[in-house]
Amino acid sequence: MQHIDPSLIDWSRAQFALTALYHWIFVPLTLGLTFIVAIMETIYIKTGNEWWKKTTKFWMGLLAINFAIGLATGIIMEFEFGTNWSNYSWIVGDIFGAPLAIEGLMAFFMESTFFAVMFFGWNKVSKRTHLLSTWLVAIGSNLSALWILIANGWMQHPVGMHFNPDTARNEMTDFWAVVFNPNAYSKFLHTISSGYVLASLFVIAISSWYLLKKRDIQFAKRSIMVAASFGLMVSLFNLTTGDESARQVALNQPMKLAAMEGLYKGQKEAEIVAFGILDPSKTLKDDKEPFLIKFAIPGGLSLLSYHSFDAYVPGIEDIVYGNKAHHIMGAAEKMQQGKKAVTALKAYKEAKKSGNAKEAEKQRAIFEANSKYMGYGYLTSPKQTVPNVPLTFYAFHTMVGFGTWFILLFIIILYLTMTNELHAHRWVLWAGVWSLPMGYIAQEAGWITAEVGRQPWAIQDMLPVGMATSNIASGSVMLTFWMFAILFTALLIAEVKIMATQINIGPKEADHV
Amino acid sequence: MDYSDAIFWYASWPVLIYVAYRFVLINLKHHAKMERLEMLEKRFGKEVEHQKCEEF
Amino acid sequence: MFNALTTLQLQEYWWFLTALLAALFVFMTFVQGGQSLLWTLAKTETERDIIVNVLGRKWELTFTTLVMFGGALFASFPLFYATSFGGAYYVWMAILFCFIIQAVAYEYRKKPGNVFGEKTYEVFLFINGSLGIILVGTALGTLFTGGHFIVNDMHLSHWTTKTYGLEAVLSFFNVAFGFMLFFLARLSAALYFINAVDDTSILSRARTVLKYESWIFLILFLYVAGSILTMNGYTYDPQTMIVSVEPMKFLHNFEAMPLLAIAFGAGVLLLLAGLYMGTYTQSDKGIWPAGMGIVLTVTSLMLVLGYNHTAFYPSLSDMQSSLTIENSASSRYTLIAMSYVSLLVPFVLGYIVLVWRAMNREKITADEVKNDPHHY
Repeated sequence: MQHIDPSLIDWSRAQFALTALYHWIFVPLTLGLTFIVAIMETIYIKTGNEWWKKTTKFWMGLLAINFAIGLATGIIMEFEFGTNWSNYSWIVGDIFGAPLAIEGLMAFFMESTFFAVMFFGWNKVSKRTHLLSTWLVAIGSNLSALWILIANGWMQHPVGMHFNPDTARNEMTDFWAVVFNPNAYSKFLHTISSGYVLASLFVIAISSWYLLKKRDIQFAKRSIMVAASFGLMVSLFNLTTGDESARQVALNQPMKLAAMEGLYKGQKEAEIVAFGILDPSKTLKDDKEPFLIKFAIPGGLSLLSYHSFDAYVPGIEDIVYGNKAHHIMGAAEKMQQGKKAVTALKAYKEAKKSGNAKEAEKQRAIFEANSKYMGYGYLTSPKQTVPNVPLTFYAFHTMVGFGTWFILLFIIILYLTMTNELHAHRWVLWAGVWSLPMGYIAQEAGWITAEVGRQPWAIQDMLPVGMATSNIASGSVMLTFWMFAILFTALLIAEVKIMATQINIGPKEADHV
Repeated sequence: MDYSDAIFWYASWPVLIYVAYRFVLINLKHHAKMERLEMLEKRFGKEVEHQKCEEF
Repeated sequence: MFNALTTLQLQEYWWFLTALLAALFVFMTFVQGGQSLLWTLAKTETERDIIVNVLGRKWELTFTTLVMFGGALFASFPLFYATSFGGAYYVWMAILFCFIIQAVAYEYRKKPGNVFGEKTYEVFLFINGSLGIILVGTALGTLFTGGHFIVNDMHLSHWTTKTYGLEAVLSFFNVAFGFMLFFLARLSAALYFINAVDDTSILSRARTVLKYESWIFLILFLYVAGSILTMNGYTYDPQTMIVSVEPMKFLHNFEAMPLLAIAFGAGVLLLLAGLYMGTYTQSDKGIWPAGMGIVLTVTSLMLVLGYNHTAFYPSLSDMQSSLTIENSASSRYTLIAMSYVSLLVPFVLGYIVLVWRAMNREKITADEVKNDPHHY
């Protein structure tokens, strides 16, 4: 194949990671806050109480500030598949392009069309039409998450396709297998519900701040009531889908699971680390204990990932070097098979070109027999199959730790709101304020776990990132990386400042109904 | 292929939204009662709280 | 039902949808045209607010159409997506930057604490409306003039010039194409304002724009259309797939597909009628014939570009690498699956039209903008 400059790969990854991380600052809030305002507006329509209209409009205003920049970063992600991952676009575009196109048709138009009604249509359409529009914006934005996560789930666990040696790409053979991919639904549900959690934290944080400042008391109390109720339900759902997600990772991406838990040697009754500090000097096969300090629950990992206490969970070393006792094939063996497939594919192409049908058929058979691990054929060392363990481990544990705290927070706040004692517990209010940045960190940590944990694969076991990039000068990508970094940072600063100003102005002055 | 697992999971999304919405409504009802209670407390003082409470 | 179609018919169907999306996008660039006219049509702050708010109700639709155009290309012609985006890197990146700044500009322009000030966001809108559209037009021009790319046996592609697409601006045709779209966007913006705004000074300035800029557009259009009809095109043999040069390929395509010639002619006439209505009559409906004209003209041009065994993206580095709707398309299975999804298109267009009518029932006035707490 072609020679690719390693710095090009790094810059391409860096640029994509940068865009994705920035994009994800804004999307989860949109996913959840749209539903929260839809619920508030429904209450307004049901009760006819103008107070709820004002409240709805205030939160909608903050939503709009957030929405615009989410859109701006979103368009880049779509086009970056072409600009920076052009080989990827050809090799898997036949499957990957479809959900992206469906996302546009089913979700984006719904979102953008009814967004205009939601913001400017208060006096132009009937109350019910307006309410319907608000719900359609919420559903539309979540449907776009559905299709993009179907696409992402497919990268993590490619199904419903086969490699066509004539076109040298993967082609879709089963659309429904792609849609109902277990990695797709578990990711979709876990992701959107995490967005709902963040939106609840957002409403709670701002309302808590008002209560701390002893202003807009009624507004804050009622908003907290809505957010904590919504938050508790969705965070419990988030926990359930998180478990399902982890189970799918265990089944389809054992290396990622091992990295998430810092598990080097496979175990039965594998323990789950609740808290731990990794030994930075740990390397593969050095027989050192991977943790400096840890607090672990015996059997927890086996139970969570395979729903059985004595299930065997393979470790990083088992997956890299193989483990005959547990029928795990090592990366070296997979690389051998992969190289056979790559060579056979080349020979097949040449035989076809020269019109040697018999040879072509022979090579094709060799290719088909070995194509399962074709992606490994592009690797040069078995160790390349190991992702960055500390980053994956810490990101995962941050997400889980913070997520657990949010459930507790929602329970405490809901209880105190019910008993009307919330304002008397200032530490809870401060906790409500500080949980918002924690929410954002948990969001990003979740994606770092998912995406760093599956390196080096662009498509699990099929296409390493190095094979997926566009063949351009790395300097060009470096240049655009810095341009993006500067522009996004500037826009983020503006967004935060505008948001803070609006929050400071508050619900009373912000509205002239 | 059997996709009933996936369909079940996907179907849980609208259910979640509905259940969360109902939960918000129930809690708001309770909250409204409390707001009234607070208002009455302000108006009549703590003494009459218990008698008034029975009205709900 | 789509199973009955041949693979070529499926590819043609998807090229038609892509063409239609491109045409709808060009129509919707009245938003960009309006942004570039911000300081021409508005002399006071209130007038600027009116312009921004009129466009602010529509900009997301244009943006979404562009995203959809990208998505449809990715799903149906992934080799084009890979070759052009990954090769003409700088051009597409520049276009993206022009659209990022647009997305925030509407919402942030008037907000207190927006860090960079109102003027900066107006400049963002202007850049998007001018440079953004000129670059999109230049990129579309390269579909006729070609790009410097090579596609290898494995269908992996790379660009052969270190300028990664920027060299497109050296072609006079491409740049003229870009400016043609730019002026078209300004004209349709003027027509749209006449339709949607109730403010005498903005309207009289809009009519002045129509009066003068129509001529600039027409000159550019005649040059571009004349060039297309007389230029060499790449044709390919449907059996061997070997690409060769054919003089006046696009003229021949019009002869071979007279329906497209009629659609093209009708489109131009409708556009002219719309421009006439806006310039010389008191009618406020000029946007509709003009809009239909734009959609017809662009669709037929795109179809002439891709149908009748024509390479829709010629390679200037290696003629045999040129892209055709046959060699760049998705698999038959994917095209069929996506065709079923495309049955949603009328439904989507339906609700867009309904919402459009509801939102544009009354013209926008200075009072409405001032009294809307959520105005841009």
